[in-house]
Amino acid sequence: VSGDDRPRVLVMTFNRTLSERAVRYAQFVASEGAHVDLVMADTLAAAEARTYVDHRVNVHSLLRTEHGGPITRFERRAVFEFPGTAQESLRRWQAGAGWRRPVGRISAGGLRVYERLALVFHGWIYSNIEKTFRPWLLSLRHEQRLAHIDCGSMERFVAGDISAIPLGWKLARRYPKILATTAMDSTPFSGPSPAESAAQT
Amino acid sequence: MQTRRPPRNPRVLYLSFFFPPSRASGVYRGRATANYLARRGWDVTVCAAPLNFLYQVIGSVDEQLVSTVDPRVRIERARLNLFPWEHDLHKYRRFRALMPIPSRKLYELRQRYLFPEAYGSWGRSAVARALRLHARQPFDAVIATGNPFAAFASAWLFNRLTGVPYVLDYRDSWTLDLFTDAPAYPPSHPAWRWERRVLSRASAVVFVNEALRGWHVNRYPRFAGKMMVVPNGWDPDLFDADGLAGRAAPTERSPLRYAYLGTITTAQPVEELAAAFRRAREHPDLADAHLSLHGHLGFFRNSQAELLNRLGLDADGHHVDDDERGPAIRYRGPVSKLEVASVYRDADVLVFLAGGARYITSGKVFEYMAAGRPIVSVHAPDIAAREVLEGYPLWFNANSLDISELAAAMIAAGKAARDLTPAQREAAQRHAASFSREALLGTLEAKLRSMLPAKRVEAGEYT
Repeated sequence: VSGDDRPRVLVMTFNRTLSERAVRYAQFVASEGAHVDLVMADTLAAAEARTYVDHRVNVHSLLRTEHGGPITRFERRAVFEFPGTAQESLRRWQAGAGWRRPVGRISAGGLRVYERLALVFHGWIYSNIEKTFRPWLLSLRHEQRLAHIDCGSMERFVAGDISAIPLGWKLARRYPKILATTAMDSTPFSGPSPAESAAQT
Repeated sequence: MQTRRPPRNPRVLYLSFFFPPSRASGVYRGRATANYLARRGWDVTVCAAPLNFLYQVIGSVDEQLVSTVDPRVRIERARLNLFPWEHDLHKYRRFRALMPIPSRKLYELRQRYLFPEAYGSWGRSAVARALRLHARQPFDAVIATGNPFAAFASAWLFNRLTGVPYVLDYRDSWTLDLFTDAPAYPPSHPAWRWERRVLSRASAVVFVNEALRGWHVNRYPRFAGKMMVVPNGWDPDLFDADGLAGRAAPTERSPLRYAYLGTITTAQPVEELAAAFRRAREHPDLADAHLSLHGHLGFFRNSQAELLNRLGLDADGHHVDDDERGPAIRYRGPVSKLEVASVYRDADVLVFLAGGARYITSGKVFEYMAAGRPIVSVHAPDIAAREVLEGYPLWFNANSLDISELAAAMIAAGKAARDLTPAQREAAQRHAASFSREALLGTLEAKLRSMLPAKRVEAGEYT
């Protein structure tokens, strides 16, 4: 808890490619005098975001690394590591008795097919499933990782990109009185526009 | 024995998304058309945008405008899927909230395969509503005005289902980018397929100026025969031109007051305007003249600072080079509908600042003419508004954006304002009268009448 009476804003952005717009928005809101917490997907993304913002924006990450989960690890091993390891073992095995060569050639052919199918699986199936479920999976991690942020004292939650929507929605449900939005709206943080000023005079 | 039914009013369905209380710029044409047809004996049913979209999403409403709609006009409001406009996470449904990527994908697929516009759901809902109404009491004709162009697709679908003929009113351009004069979509975009499709079955296609009609004739020569022009105009019931006529011309010693009224946008030649006015002010006749800019600065808050800067104004809307003669240019902010008349009344010369080029008429030119003041043009030379201003006796056109020539036109307009006689003003307003909506909409109504089934007309079924 900051302990000051500045408006508090939580900005979340989890897209794989850094959303410069969301990060710059966090910086803008901080420069307008708000206390800003910017939540990124992992420490790598948080480090990248820090290059865009100054010390007034508190940058947090949901995960240490996005690639450390058991499913991701298994998929990476099955698709990218297994064919190489298996081929190496096969080469060593073939070096023995002469009858092993034709068996080895057939097995190597089988491995090449496996490798291609694995890449197709990775590109078409795994990536799409992962892309679909990633925002929701990320939202599951906020309980532990954001425990140190006092979400109840926020003035608004801003989902800065499409991947941040599930977490923004969960926070909106938990804190129904707090504004939760996907709009990066500058109006509450800035003074009247020249048009409004002129209209008032 | 067969009894003859009493004659009835012909029924028209008017698909006009923007309709009061919306205060979008296109509302005035829709409002005027519906009112005109009602006065001419048509039963008019307007299918318009849902109120929650107008109030909660765009927030651009003018409740007073509702009272200017003829009470005989029936207004139906079709539903609209607010997917792209909904930012409040509290209102998200579970699927969209937890699976935002497939949810967006589904929305995009609907756009790609059903209709390539965010208003497609409104169009489908409008057709459903129209079919229900048609079953109870049949429509005789349909007018669809775009944008949004989902209205065109609705008219086409309604025609396919019921055979009721329709007129397309291109209040705006669909496939032509008016600011770059280039096609608005790549060749493979479904908008082209849809445009050809809706044009093919239309009974008439209406444009707001000859330039736009010409572009579409070149693009779709097969349909040239049904393309016509019904210009925009000014609304005598909203703009009391007679009330402005009485003001005396400025005297030799009183400072000349130049005024611009309308939204100032980044597409307009604002630097040229500011520079030319500064140059014109060097002339002794305009030494203490000033230019007041009334209206919104851009459509977005972000554009305000840029526009002020381009106009050479500071954050308070004052000219940064102001001297002892007082401010040369002053930004005076938005004007409510009730104050518009006083802006015209207090102006000696009206500055017609317009962006874009060949295909843009600009709605404010009609009110400018109706005000009966000298008008000085600050826009590209080949703008479509020329069609309207040609023949206006108090038009001062530099025919270029050259600063010196613009300044000369401003000086000439100032002199004309000082020497203005009641006869000159009357001649100017006579020209403007030919652009009142009443005078212009007759062509459209005649076209609609010609679309009524000949047998029924001959049998005296219509009043």
